[in-house]
Amino acid sequence: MTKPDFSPDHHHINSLIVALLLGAIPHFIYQPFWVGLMFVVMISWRLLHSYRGWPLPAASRWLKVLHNGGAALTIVLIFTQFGLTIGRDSGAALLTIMLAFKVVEIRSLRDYYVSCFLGFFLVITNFFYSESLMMVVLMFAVIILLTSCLVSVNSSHDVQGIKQRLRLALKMVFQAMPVMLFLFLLFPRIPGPIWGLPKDANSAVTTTMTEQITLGEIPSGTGTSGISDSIQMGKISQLILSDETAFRVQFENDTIPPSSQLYWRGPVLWHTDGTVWSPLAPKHVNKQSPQITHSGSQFSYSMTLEPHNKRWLFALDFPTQKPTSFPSYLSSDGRLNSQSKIKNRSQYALSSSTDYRFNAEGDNNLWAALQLPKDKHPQTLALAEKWQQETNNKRDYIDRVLRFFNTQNFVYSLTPPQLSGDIVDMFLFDSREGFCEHYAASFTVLMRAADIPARIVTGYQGGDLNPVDNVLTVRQRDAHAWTEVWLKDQGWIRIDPTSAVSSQRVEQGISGLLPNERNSPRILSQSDALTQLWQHMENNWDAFNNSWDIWVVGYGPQIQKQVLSKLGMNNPDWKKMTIWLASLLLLSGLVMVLASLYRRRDSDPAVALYQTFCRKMAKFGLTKHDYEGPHDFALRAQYALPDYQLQIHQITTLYSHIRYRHEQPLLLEELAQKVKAFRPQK
Amino acid sequence: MIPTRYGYGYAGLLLLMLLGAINYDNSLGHLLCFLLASLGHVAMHHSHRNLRDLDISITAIEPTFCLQHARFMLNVINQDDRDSFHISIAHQHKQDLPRWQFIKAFNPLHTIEHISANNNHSCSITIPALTRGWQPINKLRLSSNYPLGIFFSWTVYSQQAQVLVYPQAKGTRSLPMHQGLGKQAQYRPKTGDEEFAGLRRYRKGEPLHRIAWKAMARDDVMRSKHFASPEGDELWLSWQDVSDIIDLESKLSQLCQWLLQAETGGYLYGLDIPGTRIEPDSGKTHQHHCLKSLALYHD
Repeated sequence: MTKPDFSPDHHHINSLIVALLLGAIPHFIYQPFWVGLMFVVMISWRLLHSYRGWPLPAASRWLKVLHNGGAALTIVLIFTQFGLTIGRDSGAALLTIMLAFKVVEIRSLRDYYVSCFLGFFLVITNFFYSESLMMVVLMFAVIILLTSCLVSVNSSHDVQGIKQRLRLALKMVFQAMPVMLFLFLLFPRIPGPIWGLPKDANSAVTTTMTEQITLGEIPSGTGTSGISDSIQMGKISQLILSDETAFRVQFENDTIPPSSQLYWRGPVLWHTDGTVWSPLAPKHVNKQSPQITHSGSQFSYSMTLEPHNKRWLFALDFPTQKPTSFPSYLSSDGRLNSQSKIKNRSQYALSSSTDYRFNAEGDNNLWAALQLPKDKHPQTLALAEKWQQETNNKRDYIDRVLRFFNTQNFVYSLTPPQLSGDIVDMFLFDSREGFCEHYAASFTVLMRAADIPARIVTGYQGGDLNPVDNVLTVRQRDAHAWTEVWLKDQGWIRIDPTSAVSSQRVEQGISGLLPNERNSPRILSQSDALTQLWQHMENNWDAFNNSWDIWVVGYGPQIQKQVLSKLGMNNPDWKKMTIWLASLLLLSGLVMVLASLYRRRDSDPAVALYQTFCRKMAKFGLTKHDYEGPHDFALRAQYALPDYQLQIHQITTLYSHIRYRHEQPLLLEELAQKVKAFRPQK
Repeated sequence: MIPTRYGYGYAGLLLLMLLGAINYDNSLGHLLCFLLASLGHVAMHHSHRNLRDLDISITAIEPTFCLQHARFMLNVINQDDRDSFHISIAHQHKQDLPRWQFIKAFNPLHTIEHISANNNHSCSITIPALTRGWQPINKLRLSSNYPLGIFFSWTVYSQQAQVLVYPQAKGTRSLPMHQGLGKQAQYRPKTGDEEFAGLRRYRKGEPLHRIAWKAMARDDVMRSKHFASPEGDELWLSWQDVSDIIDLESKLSQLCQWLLQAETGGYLYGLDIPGTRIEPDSGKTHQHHCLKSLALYHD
């Protein structure tokens, strides 16, 4: 047991502070500024004590009051900032600051251990914010530092300096790797959560698609997560500003449909009041499944969806069936839904064919696809009336409308002017500047005005194919809205009015429309070669991140089964995993023990040579007993092998001279030769 | 090897982390938790190895008086090719404790911070002398929390070595001047008026002031001056002198104290107790001889 009067000195405290500071860096970024400020202030207090001899809180009553007051203030600040519930953010903020307060008042060994252990906890809170490779590198750095801190209080500073301690910590962490990997692979993963998660557990979701489209208002930039569905404004244009990944797609056999076919179907919008478009109530769309007839080739792919805290899933228009291994269902309007909200990165396998007929026999909800708000869009309705008279059938009418978009001076713009009043009329007859949702909405109104059932489909279009790993990354900026019209005997047909205005948007994807700076840093955008190099590096990095996200970050119950099946485990379940794990752990323990024994044996070259000699003797049934000295053994051996008396005598004498008289260098060579030449035969 | 209380704290931390990682479905949280678990496992091996190849030997055991401290040299030998760190030496001072309280049975004495590979380290150890006679050194324990303080590992060495414990020197009586086997023992302060009787070869244990330094300068042979004392100068410390003390240990204590006083007083003293009779003499060896027979006395 350690001496009870042991108290950590400033060597110990300073190394601890370095470790904790490193571990807290991410929180300086993710937390409000005052969290970092408090942390730094408290740490500085302790450092000033170490270097300038400033008093610690224990020194006087007033300082103690100051210290405790600071802690109380922190709690008040946390409550005002985050509210009264302890969630992820408030918990992490509390831990960060309290840790710094604890460091100031470290006096005993126990305090020191508590701080180290809280430091370990600090590292895990970082992972609630980011699970990138950098975080793992940081984790290893912090763990090595904290380990060396623990070593420091268990050995003397005079004997083990910082260098030796760090080397030992590095060595220990390195030795811990195999078992860590076994545990990571084989420890049976339990699908969480076990108990309720705080609301902000997944606030990593910052941008996502919404269930509504509201026209005419320019995004104010306040809407962040999908916390509330009711106050969304012009969301798609806001999404276009974001490079965040929405989902990734890996096509099987690398057969990827052309970019113009990459429509990733999401929520379907039916109802409108003139500005806001929203989906149909679940009772209307959940009654039956859609009637789909597929033709043409099918594409199989697996989707890795980033969490968006909503129920809907995305699928290439149109999936042949719902995902088999994922609890989900298809609404009658073709929206794929998960049984529960997507709070974690989720994976599902699908196959789709881009050639299909959708509810050609009829649809119960056609009434909703004809609904228009009363007394709105007068100009638009008049225009529809006019074209209806000019055209013979619905197909012609549709073409007329598309021609209108195509030939009139409509502009595809990501920053359209703000519209007010009757938005659809204003857009069609006045501003004529907008992006997909303006076109989709006004087109749908024009359809409905002509008694053609129409609805808006939101989702994503296109995606970036990474040539390195052939993974298609669909980002938030690929968000899109298009229209489906229902024609008798043909069912729902996809019509993308945006393509009539800007065919580039659909054929090349959104990135073609974005300024160059969005694709590479401004400095590089001047030179094509540099831009290309940048793209190349970015592709590799993306490919790496993609595998990282799927195989490491996404390693949960689902992927674990996949991986273990590939490694040769049939139908992995927790019992088999436990058995595998136990045997591997046992094996690694054995290896560790053997390694330490083996190294010990051959450490002294003379001993190693003598053991070789003993092995040669063992072939004649002559084994040296533990209680037997080399000379006793030699006597016995000489008796048993009289022909080799001289050699046995020489080897034994040389060995004992080297071992016990320290006449090392010259004799060792001689011993080596003698042992080598010793080949007894019967 | 058992976990320390910090080890239990560490385990609790890991459990908490695992629950958190499961609850948040955080894969890297799992990774961290497994890294720390594995690190604990590695620490266990290091802790074991730190002590595995240590051996001890005991030398230079000095006799002591009861209720004082026995001192000896402990040599800790590191037979491994790696350095050992932060080794605590503890002595088992209680033997009747139940097994699970073995930690309490040991009393930490000394910490060796570092024994380099294939090397040894000596230190002086004192243990309490509790009972008169040959006291076994009992068990010595080498232990360490090294490297992380979450595991406590130890090795217990049972020692054959014994330490001789003299009786406690205690008693209120003054030296028995006029008693002792009926012969007169006269107190003669050592003022130098004894008759010089010649030189004898120096025997180990004789007082330094008796060494004949001049004679030694002549021929390098160490001699001690001997003074012929009259018969009456011989002091006998006998069982009868303490016959009125009832308790055996108190008797021995009184005799012990007298022996010490007689030696410092420069007397020639003899000891006469049942079973042992030591002729009067003086010097450290003689004193030890007398004290030893007191120490080993039993009815």
